Amino acid sequence: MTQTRFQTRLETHGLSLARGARPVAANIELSLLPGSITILRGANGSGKTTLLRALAGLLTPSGGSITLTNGETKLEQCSENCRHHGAFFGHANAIKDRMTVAENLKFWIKLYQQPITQLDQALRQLRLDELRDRSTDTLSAGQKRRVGFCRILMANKPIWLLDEPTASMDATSIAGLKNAVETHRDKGGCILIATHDAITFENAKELTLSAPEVAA
Amino acid sequence: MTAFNAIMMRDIVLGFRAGGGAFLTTIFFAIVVLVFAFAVGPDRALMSMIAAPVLWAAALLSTLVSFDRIFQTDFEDGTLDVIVETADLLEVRILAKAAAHWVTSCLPLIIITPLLALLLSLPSGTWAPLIISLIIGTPALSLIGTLVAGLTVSLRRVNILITILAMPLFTPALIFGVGAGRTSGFSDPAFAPALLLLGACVLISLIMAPLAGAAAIRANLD
Repeated sequence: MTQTRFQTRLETHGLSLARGARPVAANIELSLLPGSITILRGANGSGKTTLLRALAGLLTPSGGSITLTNGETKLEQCSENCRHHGAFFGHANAIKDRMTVAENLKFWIKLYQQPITQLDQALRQLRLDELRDRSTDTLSAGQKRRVGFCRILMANKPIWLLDEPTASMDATSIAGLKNAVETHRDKGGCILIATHDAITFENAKELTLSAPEVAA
Repeated sequence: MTAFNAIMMRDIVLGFRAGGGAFLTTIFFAIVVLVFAFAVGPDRALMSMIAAPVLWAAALLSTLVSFDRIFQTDFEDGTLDVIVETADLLEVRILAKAAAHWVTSCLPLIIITPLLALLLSLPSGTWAPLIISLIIGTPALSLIGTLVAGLTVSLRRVNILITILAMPLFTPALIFGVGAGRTSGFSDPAFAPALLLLGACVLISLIMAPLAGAAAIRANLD
């Protein structure tokens, strides 16, 4: 597939996040450059998921800013631009149990407005060919996670925001995921992975979130 | 438009698959009508008089139990995030949801209405205004229901809350729907005005539901 390199850069300045009225994280300085992998670490409740949701444009930050730059063009600072440039893979796989694997994938392809050829490519890349016509409620947790990850592969977005992508995956699947992430990096994509697993990449940056000090 | 069709078709397919609930709504509708039929007893004159109000009230009650499905499963399995993330105009996707709800929950009711009208000994000449009033009016129920489902999406076991929120918004559609549906025929002077007002209810919902529904969904994901 011929594809121009992604050139989108994402930066945050003094970003603070809250869930309802409760502050979750404050003063996050982060920059995701084209062709980079960042591992996001932190204890439970330190705001990893909240940060990813904010970067995906699904949650409004309580303070600070998120800046997106495409090549030299600075994009308007709004959650709509975040949504257009990011693909968010949350705890939930966004799979419908009463549809087959292929039906789920076709639905996403239409939402992301991608060519249908992406389907076979993604299935092959994650070794899901033989599960193609299986109803997803008969899949194991790890298989479902892989099907869910197909969506990110097919989305054709520069920024990948992965929340515990390796949950319930076996070693081979994790290797497949690593491979996909590295391919995306080589295409100029930027990847932010929140994880507790000891997954490592060459030249990956690490960012550790700590819970904000609670005012007594 | 691709996304609109994709969301609508997926919801319709899921609605009619096992566990989708489309058939349950229809059965519930028939049961409510039957309850009235048994309660009123063998007084055929009374029965044919209340047939239109009973069918409209039953349609309203049976759609109420189907609204929690519109966004709830999408919210729980993460699909709603994807729908919001990929949307240029979330309002249009809310409309797709409402359209799918109408096809899976209202259309089946309209299809079995003639059968139930027979049961309620409705004179055959008055079926047409009733069915027309349901065809014109039920989209308002789907639209308002989609809005209310969006408002309550992050809550659990919300059927009662949905009923409380939706009922006042349904009232105009119910009044004008029954007004048009109980007339003796298209030439009845009461038919056209009631039907026009019913159409106005639908048009107002058509504007209000996508705008407010999208805002509610965004606020609930926040």
